[in-house]
Amino acid sequence: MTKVNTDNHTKKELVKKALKKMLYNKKLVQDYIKGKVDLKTVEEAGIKFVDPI
Amino acid sequence: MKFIEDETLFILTNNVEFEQVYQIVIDNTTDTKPPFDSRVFLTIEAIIIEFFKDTQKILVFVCDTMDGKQLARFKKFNRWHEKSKHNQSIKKLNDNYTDTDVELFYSIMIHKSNPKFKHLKSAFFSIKELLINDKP
Repeated sequence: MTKVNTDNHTKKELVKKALKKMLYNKKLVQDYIKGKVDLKTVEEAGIKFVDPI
Repeated sequence: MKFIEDETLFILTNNVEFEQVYQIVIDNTTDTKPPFDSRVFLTIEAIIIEFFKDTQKILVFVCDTMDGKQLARFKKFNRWHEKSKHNQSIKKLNDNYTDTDVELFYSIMIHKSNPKFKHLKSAFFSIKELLINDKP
């Protein structure tokens, strides 16, 4: 995981981006579950499916 | 239901490394709204219990905002957690943030036996502090 050291304003923007990225990842996975996008599209977005159970 | 590796939320937790962070994504396989099924709760509960057999795993999720029903989802997940068998050993921490008129609800679930429990709790709530901090 890449760690970031920066000022408060930049941190705030990074956290906002992080939340949006989480939402984006979720939407892409939801589309995959529904068969609207293929696995390649998901993987190209940097998303890695895992089976942690 | 799918799990994805997702350490995005903890990108700014400079002092402590968090590993085994997963985002859980739950959805129907079609756009058709399914009828109420009480077994959904039981299924998810069983999966959560199985997931936390390894107490060092961390589960994160953000409520879907696509249809504006994120608050309803947030409340439902909270109700499920409150009535679950595991709510004493697995803690669910919640927070929210409104950005450009969209209210985001995000949560993490951590096992109480996780050796980084206090650090995780602190890191999680520091996210909101960063979000509301307007100092340069």
